[in-house]
Amino acid sequence: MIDWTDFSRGAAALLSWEIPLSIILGLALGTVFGAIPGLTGGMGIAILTPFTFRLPLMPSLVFLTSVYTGGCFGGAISAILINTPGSPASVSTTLDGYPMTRKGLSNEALGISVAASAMGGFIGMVFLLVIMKPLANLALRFGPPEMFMVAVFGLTIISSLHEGGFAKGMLAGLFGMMLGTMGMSSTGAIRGGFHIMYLLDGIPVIPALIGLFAFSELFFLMEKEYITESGETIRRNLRKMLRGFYTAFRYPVNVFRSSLIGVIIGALPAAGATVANIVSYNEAKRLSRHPHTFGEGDPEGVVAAEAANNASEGGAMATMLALGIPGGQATAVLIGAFMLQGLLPGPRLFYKHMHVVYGLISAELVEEVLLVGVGMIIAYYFAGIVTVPTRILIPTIAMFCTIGSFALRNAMFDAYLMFAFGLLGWIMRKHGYPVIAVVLGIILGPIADRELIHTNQLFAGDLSVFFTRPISLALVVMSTLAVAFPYLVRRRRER
Amino acid sequence: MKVGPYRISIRTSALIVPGICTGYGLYQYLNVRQLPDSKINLVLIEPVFVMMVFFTLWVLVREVEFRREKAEGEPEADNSSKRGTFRLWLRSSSTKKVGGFMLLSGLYLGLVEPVGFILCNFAFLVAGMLLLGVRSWPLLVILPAAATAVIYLLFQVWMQIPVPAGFLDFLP
Repeated sequence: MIDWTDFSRGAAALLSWEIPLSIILGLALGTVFGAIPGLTGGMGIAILTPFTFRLPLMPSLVFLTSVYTGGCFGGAISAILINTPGSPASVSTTLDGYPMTRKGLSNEALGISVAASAMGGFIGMVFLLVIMKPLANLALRFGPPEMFMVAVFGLTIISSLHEGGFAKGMLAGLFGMMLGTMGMSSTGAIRGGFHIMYLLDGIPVIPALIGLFAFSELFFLMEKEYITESGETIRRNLRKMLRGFYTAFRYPVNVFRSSLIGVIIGALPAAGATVANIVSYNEAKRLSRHPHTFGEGDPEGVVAAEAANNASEGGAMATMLALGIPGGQATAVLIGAFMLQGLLPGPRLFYKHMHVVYGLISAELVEEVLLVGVGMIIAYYFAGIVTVPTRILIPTIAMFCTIGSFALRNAMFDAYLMFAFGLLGWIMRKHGYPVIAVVLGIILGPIADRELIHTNQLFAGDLSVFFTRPISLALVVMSTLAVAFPYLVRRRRER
Repeated sequence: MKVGPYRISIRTSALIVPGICTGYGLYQYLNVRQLPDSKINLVLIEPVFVMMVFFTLWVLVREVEFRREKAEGEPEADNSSKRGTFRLWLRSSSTKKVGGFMLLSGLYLGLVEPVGFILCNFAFLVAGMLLLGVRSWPLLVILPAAATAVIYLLFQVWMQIPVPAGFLDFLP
């Protein structure tokens, strides 16, 4: 599976002083980009690509993949500290990360996220190294029915949300799906959108995410002096962060399972880190011996969410390198960066420049190790946020929410949308509706809609196709069990 | 509504979220139904809308309260405390803060484009911190000025994402 001659050639290309410098700088910038709500790792790669024009091949590619790695992790910092996923890929990290902060365990949660991210990313890269070609081929066997079922499988997490009960969770999730179908469909029809030009592409996820999670939280924070529930200031503490770091090693099965989910989902075009983050959190909760503690600050939730979204990078890179198919925004920009260096990702890259591929994977393995140090340092400085009184924090976060939403498309409309979602999130949370269900619907709804339309067109409306294709059937069975299992467990516990 | 000896009631506030969700669902469903190729476009929307109606009814049924009417001669329940609670909530400092911050945020968003990011952001941060209880004048000046400058430099200069200039359109 591994061509050791090319591998050693590729690894030898890393033995220059520019490589560690590129990695550290890329990781630091990527982490900061990921941690600022509204900016993503993909955006970071896009902004920083022009700075790599004059760099040699390996340092430039290593720098950009380091930004990608840092961006995957950075989203966890703001998700944990201010309940705002820095990027959609950290959406499930908020579920247990922020409750940990409210319990005064922000340092531990950050340490856990660093360890889980590095381990998940490392496992993802090992997978990439070993099963790059077979995985890319498997990803190609996922047609529209399978992709629809992946989206449905991701949505099954709603059934296990405790907040507000099953009916409220389902209503919120369906509402999110309905919002997700807004805009131009894959048939070219414009649906809903109130004739607003900015909604032709559908609801932009980032303003919705910032509004529902961050802006709505500000209204609740007004009743407190500090973010923490006890009202005490929890100072940043490296020792506690290290304790959290070691905590993640207590869940090897969770890390491995979540990483595996991350790699497989990451390899699916258009699924990526966000879906991986959601599905692995769901699976960790379902298979846990104490699922009731999920959502209340369970370290396992943070481990599952962070291991998966970082491992998804391995899967996404496999599809990008082996087939030349970008799985998402970040890999799409990376393909552009490869092209700038005269390389075209795809089967030819494997044939002609295998040593470059191996060199890049070796660098990625080093990146995951160095992420521990860089991630810890940046998370340590960000951790100071919880010591700031809410009377200062609230207007400042509101400003970041506004500018982060605006920066996405240079449109004030996105900031207005963020504000509307903020009010909606506040009202929903006041009445016990889980806003995470709306977010899941907005993210997975368009995927489900597009793939179901394609399935309908391809198979002339014959829905039996979901039961006749083996991968699709397996996903149908898993989704059914995923919905039924928490419900049955809850019923049994009530008896 | 009175049914036999029972009075059936539902809190008006409990209708807000189901109303928003189902209202939007209905809008989207009817909108797509009018399209020429509605059948294919409704393939997901229709079942989702049907399920929304089902779960809305489920939620509403759970919110309904059944209360037995008092027999003649039994003293009437005292609702004055409930009214008092509502008034207290309305007058509480946290409600005023939430309402004030909502208005302030709305005003900020509305004025950013015509007035410009720099002036508006500075004013918003000062007003927001004053509203929430910051009384230190150095903090009220330095923090908004520094935050506005950092954001401006980060977006406008480094990332070249133009922020609304407003009155200060002569700035780089």
